[in-house]
Amino acid sequence: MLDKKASMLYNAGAMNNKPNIPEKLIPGKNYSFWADMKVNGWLTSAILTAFVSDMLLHSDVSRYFHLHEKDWPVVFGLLHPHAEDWPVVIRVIIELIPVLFSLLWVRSVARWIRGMDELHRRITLEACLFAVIGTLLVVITWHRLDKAGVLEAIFQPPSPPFEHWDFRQFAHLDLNQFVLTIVLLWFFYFLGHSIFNRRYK
Amino acid sequence: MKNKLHELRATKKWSQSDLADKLGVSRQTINAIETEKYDPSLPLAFKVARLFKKPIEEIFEDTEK
Repeated sequence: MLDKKASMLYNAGAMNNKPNIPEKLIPGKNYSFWADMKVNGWLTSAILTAFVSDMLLHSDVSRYFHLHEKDWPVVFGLLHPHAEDWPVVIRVIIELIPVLFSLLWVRSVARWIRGMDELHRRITLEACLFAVIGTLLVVITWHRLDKAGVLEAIFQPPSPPFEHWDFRQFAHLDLNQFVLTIVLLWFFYFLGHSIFNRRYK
Repeated sequence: MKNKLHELRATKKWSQSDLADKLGVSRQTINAIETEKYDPSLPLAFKVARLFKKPIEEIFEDTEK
C-alpha cells in the first residue's frame, strides 16, 4: 500500500500528462509558435540586443551589412562616432545585456529539456552533443585550411560580405563568424535530431 | 529487453496515446518500448508496473539471462 507521500509523488507524475516534445520547435505539423517563443524568446532578445550593441559599439558592422550613414543618420551619424567616449560602465552594460539574455535562454532551454520524457530527453541531448562536435570539427578544419592558405586560394578574391574567413577572430565574437557558428550549430542539431529520432521510430 | 506492454495495453483496450497520457510520456516512447527499440528507465518501468498492478519482472523480461 502506498503511503500518502508516495501516493502524491505518483499522482504528481501522472498529472504531467503532456511532456515537451522537440517537434513543437521544429517546423512541421506539430510546430507551436508559443512553445518556440517560450524556449527561444530570450534568444530572439539576445540577437536583437546584440545587433543593437554591434551597431553602436562595433566599427565593422556597417562594413559587413553595407550600412551607410545617410540611411542610418542617428546611429552612424550621431551615436556611433561618440560611442567610444561613453563611460565604460555604459559600454559594459550595453555589451553584457545580450550575454545576460543568452544565459536566460540557456535556462529556458534547460527547463524545456527537463520537461521532456526520457526518450526525447535522450534524443535531444544526443543531438546537442552531435551539434557541438560537428560545429567544432567544421570550425577547426576551416581554421586549419585557412591557415594553410587553401581558402585564400579558393576564394580569390574574397566575396563580400565575408571579406575574411579567419576563425582566429572568433575570440572577439566577430559578427559574421558568430552568426555562421550559430547556423552551423542549428544545422548539426537538426541533422543529429533526425538521425537519432529515426532510431526509435 | 522483451516486454508485454503491447499485450497488457490490448487487454485494457487502451491506445498508445491513452497509455502515454497515463504514464506522462509521449506516444513515441510507448511505441519505442513496445517495439523493443528502447528500454525504459527504472522509474518508468515501476510506473508501468504500478499502472497494470503487476510485478516488473512479469512485464519486462531480461533477455541476457
